[in-house]
Amino acid sequence: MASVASVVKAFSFFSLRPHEPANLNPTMLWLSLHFPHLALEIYARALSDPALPLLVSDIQGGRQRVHARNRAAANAGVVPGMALGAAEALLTEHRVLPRDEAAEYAALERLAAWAGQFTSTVSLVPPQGLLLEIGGSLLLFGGLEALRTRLQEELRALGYRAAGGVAPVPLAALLLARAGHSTPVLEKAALPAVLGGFPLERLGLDEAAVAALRGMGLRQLAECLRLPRHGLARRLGPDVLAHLLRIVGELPDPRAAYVSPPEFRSRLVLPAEVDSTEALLFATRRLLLELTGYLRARGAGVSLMQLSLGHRGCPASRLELGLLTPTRDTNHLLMLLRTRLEPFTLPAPVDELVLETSQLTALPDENRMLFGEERTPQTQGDQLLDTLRARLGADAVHGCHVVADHRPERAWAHCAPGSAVDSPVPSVRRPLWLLDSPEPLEEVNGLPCRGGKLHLLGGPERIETGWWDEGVTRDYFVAEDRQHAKLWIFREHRNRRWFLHGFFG
Amino acid sequence: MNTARPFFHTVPTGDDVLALPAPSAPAQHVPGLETLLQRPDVWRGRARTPQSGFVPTGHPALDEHLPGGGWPVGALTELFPVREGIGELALLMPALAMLSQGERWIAWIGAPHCPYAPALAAAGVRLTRLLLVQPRAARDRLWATEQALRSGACAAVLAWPDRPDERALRRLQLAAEEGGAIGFLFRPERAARNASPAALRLTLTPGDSELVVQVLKCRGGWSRGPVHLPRHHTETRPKSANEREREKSC
Repeated sequence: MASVASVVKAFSFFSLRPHEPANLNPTMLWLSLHFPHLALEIYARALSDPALPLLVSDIQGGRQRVHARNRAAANAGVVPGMALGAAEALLTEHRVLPRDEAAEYAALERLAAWAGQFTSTVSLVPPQGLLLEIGGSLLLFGGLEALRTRLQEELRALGYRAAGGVAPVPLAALLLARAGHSTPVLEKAALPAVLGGFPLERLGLDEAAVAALRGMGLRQLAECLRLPRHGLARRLGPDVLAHLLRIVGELPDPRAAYVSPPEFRSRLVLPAEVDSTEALLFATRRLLLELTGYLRARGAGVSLMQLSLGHRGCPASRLELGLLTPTRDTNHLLMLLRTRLEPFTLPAPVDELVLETSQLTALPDENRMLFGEERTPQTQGDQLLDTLRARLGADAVHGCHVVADHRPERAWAHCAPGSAVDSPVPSVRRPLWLLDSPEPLEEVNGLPCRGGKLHLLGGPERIETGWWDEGVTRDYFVAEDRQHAKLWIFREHRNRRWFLHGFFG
Repeated sequence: MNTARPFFHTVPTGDDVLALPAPSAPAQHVPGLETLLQRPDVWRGRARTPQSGFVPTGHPALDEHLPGGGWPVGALTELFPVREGIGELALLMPALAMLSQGERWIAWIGAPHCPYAPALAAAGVRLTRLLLVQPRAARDRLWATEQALRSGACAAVLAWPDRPDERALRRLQLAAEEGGAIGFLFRPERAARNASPAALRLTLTPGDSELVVQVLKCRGGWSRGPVHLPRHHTETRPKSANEREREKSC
C-alpha cells in the first residue's frame, strides 16, 4: 500500500531528527472549542425560561432513552441514559425533543461562521468541536486571556457552553478541550508531558484501535510513543500511528478551513410554543448575534433580511426588513425587529424561527475605526428612517420638494427624505399650510365667508394653466377672517365658487 | 409698531441672581457654605439645566424675553395657538431655516395639513432636510415623536401629538434631552392649563396684524408681559428682486 509506505517513510524521516519542527509554522496556536451539550443547547437556547424541564431523546437498542437533559430536569433526578418513560414519570410539565444530529451539525457550521470574526482559519470537527487558529489574532484581541473571556461571554450570549483547549497543534488542542484541560499549552515540546498521561480512550482513536493497543498492554499515550514506531505501524496500521504522532505534533495535521456560505440562514426550533413578543425577541436576539458574528467575519453588513415565524398548522408569518444603510449592529437590528413585532398580531403561537439574509454589502471593519462603531449624523439619520419605516410603513415617511407647476397643489411633491434638490423659490406669496383638497366656502351675496365675512387683503392672482390635463383657472386672494386668521382662498373661474386652499400658519 | 418692551433691559437673569460673587474675600468669611450646599434638603434654583444651548428665534423682541435668548435645545417647547392660520408656523421659520443648513433632520410628525414646500423654500428652509412623518394611528404619533427626538438625528421635531398625558410629555422631554433636539409640540389651547415638564410654554394669539406671544412658563426665568410680533415679520414673504440681488452680492 502506497500510503503505508509514505507514512513509514515520513515517520523515519522525523525519527532521524526528532527535535526538528514538523513542518509547522512556529507562531501557530490552536484553540479548540468543544460543545459537550450541543444536542440540548440547539433547543434550550431558544427558550428564555430555564425552569421548564427539557429532555432530548434518542433511540438505543430499540428503546427510547434520555440522551441529554437540562438543569431543571436534572434537578428532578433525570440522568442521561435513563429510559424515557422512567424520566417522564419524574417530571410533571416538560418537553421531550428528538435528538436531531443534522440540526447539531448545522449549529456547528453556524458557530464556525460566527467564529470567523476571531480568525481567518476555522475548521469543523464534528460532531462537537471547532478549531480556531489564533496565533495571528492574539495581538488583535489583547492576548489569550482576553480572547478566551470574550469567546466565553459571547458564546454564553448565543446560548452555548464550550470547553476550550489551547495547543500549538490542532489535535492536541482538541483533546485538551474534550478533557476539560483548560491550561493552555504553548510549546510543542511540552505536549508529550501534558498529554502523555492521557488514557487511550481520551485520544480520539476508534474503539478497534483502543482495543488493539490495550491488547498490547498499553494504557497511556506516553507508553505508545515509547514503542518502536516501525512495529507499531505494522501492527496497527499507519493511520493509528499517524494519529498518535499528530497529537504530539510530530506529523503535520492540515485542516480544511471552513468557508461560510454567501448568504446567512439560521433556524431555531422553539421547544415550547411562544406567543409573547418578549419571548420571541429573546430567541430572535440569539439568531441576530449569530448573524452579526457572521457579518463581522465576512466584513459585511446586511441591508435586507427576513424573519419567518413558523406556526403549527398554519403558514409561516414573514417579516421583511429593509435597511437604508447596511449594518451589523445587533441592538439596532433587534430594535427594528421589535418595532415590527410589537404591533404584529400572530395568527398562532410560534414554534420555529428562521432568520435569512440576502443582500450583503461590504462594510469596513470596526477595528480600523479608532472609537468603535461610528455614529455620524448620516448613519443616525438613516437609522431613524429605518426605525420609523419599520413600524409605520414606508408610505408614512417622506421628504418633499418643489415642482415647477403653476397649479398650487402640483407645485410640490413627496420624495424620498433627503433627496430634494434645491430649486428656484417662487416669487409669489404662498401659505405654509396647504389643504389636501380645497374646501368649499360659504358665500353671502357672492362673497366668501368662514365664521363671518372674509376680508380680502391681497389679490387677485390669476392662475390659469394645465389645460393639457386638468385645467385650472382660479383667482387667488389672501383673506383674513374675523379672528385674524389669514387664509389663502380662490374663486373658481368656471363656476364662480369660492374655496379655501391654505392657511398662512 | 406697538411692540411692548419691558421697562428694564437690565433685569438680571436667574443665573445672575444666584451666582456667588467672586471670592475676593478670604474663604473663612463664608464658613460651611459648601457643606450647606451639599445637604440634600437644600434646593438650588437652576441646579439642573440639561439643555445644551439655545437657538435664536430670529425675532429679537422674543429672544429678549426668553431666558437663554432663544429656543431651548434638548428640551420641549409647547406652543398653544388659539387657532390655525395666525402665524404659528411662521414664528418658527427663522430658526428652522437656520437649523436646516446643518446635517440633521427637521421632522414634522402628524401635521394637520401639508407643510407647503414652496412656502418653506421661500422662508429659507432647505427642503432636503425635511422629514415628513404621517403615522396612521394616533398612538404612533407619540411613538414617532419620541423616536425622532431621541435619535440624535433631528435638529428640530415639530409634532402634533394626540392628547399626551404628563407621563408621555416627560418621556418626550427626556428623549429631547438625550437626542439634543428642539421639540416643538403644537397643542390645543385648552391643554395649556395642565402641568407639563416642557422647558418653555407659549400661547399664541392673533392681534390686529400681529402675533401675541405670551410666555406661560420658561425654565430658568419667569413670565413677563406678552411679546407682540408684527405679522409681516413673522410671515414668510417672497424676497424682492432687490433683496435677492443684495444677498447674492454679499
